[in-house]
Amino acid sequence: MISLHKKKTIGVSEARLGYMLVAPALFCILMIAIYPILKTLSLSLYSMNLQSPSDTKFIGLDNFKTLLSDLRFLSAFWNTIKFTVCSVAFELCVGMVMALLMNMKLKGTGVIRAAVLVPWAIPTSVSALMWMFMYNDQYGVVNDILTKLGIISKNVAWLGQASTAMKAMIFTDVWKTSPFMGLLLLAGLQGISSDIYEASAVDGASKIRQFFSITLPLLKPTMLVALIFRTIEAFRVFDIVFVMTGGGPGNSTETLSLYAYKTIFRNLDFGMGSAVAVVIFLFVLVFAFVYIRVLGKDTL
Amino acid sequence: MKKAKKILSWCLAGCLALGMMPGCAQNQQSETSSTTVKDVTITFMRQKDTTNSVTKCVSAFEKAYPHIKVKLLSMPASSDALHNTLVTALAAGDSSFDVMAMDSVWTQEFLDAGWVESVDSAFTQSERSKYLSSTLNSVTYNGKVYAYPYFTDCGLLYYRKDIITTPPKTWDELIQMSKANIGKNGIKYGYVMQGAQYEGFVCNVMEFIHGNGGDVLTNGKVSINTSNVINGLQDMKNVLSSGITPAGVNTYKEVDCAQLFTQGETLFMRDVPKYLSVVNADTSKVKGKVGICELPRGNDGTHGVGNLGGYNMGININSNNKEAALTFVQYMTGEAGQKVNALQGGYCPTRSSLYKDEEILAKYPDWEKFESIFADGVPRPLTPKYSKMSDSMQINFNKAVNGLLPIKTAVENVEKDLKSILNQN
Repeated sequence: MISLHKKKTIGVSEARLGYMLVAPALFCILMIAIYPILKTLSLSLYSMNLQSPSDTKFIGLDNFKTLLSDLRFLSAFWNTIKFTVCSVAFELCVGMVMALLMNMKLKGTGVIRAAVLVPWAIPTSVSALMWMFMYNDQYGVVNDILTKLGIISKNVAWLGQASTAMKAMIFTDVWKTSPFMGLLLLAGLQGISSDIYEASAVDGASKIRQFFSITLPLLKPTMLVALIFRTIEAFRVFDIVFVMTGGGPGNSTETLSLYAYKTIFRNLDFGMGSAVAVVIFLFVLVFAFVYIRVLGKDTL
Repeated sequence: MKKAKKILSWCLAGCLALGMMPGCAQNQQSETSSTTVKDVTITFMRQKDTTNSVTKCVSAFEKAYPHIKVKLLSMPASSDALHNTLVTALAAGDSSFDVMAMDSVWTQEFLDAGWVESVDSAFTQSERSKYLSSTLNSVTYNGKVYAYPYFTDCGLLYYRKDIITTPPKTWDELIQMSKANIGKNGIKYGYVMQGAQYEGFVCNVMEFIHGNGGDVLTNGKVSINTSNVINGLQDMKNVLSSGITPAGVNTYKEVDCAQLFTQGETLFMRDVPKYLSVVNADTSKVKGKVGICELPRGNDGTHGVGNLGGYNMGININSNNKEAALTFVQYMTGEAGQKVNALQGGYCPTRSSLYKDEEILAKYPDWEKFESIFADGVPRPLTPKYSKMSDSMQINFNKAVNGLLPIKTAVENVEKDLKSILNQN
């Protein structure tokens, strides 16, 4: 054992060594994560355009006031909400089915678990491009299959109609991220002890009763994590929209991230673009808060 | 144990201190080397070139000027992606590249921001007279020239000359001819154009507007709410809703149109000159059956108007090798450089003499029509605020031709936006 006195005389205490060792990492985190967030927050309060940097001035909350009356912002906001709610809801259902199937003690589950991950492993921009070809009105496989099944009589431009473009993108997102949801939920399922199921079976509970009274409540913490992850990601959706429609047709699929991107990089309007980014940030924060409150009441 | 920690912490401090050393050492080295050796390396940032013509030009340049080495930095092929990369770098005062390729529509924006070195004194009057005047306009800002026109671009009407003998003069004729030919000779569609929501769509819209005698700005003033513009947009909507276009035309970009056209099922196509090589490639089903001409006009217009685009070469204001950079730009945009670019890459020269060059005409017989087509062409509005204007036009006009918004309302929205962007309220 080292006495406290001796430690002081040597000069390098354990604590100080600890701080020194983590200092570079802390510095990196500060520069990479905290600084841009604070910078974006402060930029959102300025009128700043890169084309005329000398005209930069502090305008308080004016950017946000402008956004509230900006029809384009409101439609982007509504599109983002539609995308988030639909894709996350479907992903949860599909992911749950996947997880339950993978949790069954069948032959070859290892292979299945690896196989379902394939969509998730493909970079989003690549899968978006792939789906864009599949939705093509001339040589797309989606049209081909639906025609052969007799569901449609002539080829449809899935990404060319305001009524179908958003649905097509949601479908792509569900295809891509359900496996992630499924694997997260599977991990949760495997954490539930089989004793409980056996005990309830002895008490005469049906499979359906077991699912609603045992599986779902015990899966809540995992579902919470999965939902927070996916909602945050879906709310910030950029690559799918950017690649598949660029916001079209007639701006009917523009989301908040795409709007922020265009405002900042195309129009060089850093003040307004940052304000949009801050709105995204705040909403993600609200989502996380609501989930934790509603789902996590007794689990966290 | 304790000792080990002490040593470790000192090592860490040492490492941090050393981290700064290589920087100092490098600076010393470059200072000494610049006084002894005159070799310079300049970096050229441009969009990816799939034709290899730029590497050919660069190696010819390096042979002619052995003391200058050129490093080529290829960016994604999309104009927007190049714009965003350059903006980020230039706004931060980056000096890691010396020469950049700039799309003619955002050249004015860059000049206005002060990111491009002036070449006004180096670019002699006699040299200027050799360039197509439309290309010089895009590099002139406040009466001074800031860049060299690199290559130009213009919307053309591609047609099947094995089926059509005289191409249509008006959009109505185009619709009639298409309807008359659909179902014959394997023709399924009358017309394809760039209808996806992106900058290429704005170019297509402009052609309908200009071709009907309308314009977005007249002498710098917003002049969009006129019957010429509205009827021009109506022409576009008519073409799109007449049943002669494929269902997905509003998702197509240049390359999608060219791919469809090579299948031999389409009668007319609007595209830029570089796809001449694609439709006449060995794999194309319409090889040798394609004619080009000026785009049709609207009923109120006098002639078809192609949208002029293209790229310019400018020097980064923060470059450390401006002299070598200028030599390079002058070579690339000179007679020799542009000829290689045309022959190897199919890029349209900005120097008028090259449209009479025998070697070029032997390779591209259609190019003899370009001078007159380009002379009728009009660029998109030359203003530093263009991106914002384009944003509003892209959204509103895309809504209008897709039937999501009445044309009149779309025009009024754009008028309101443009006036506020240009402070003309």
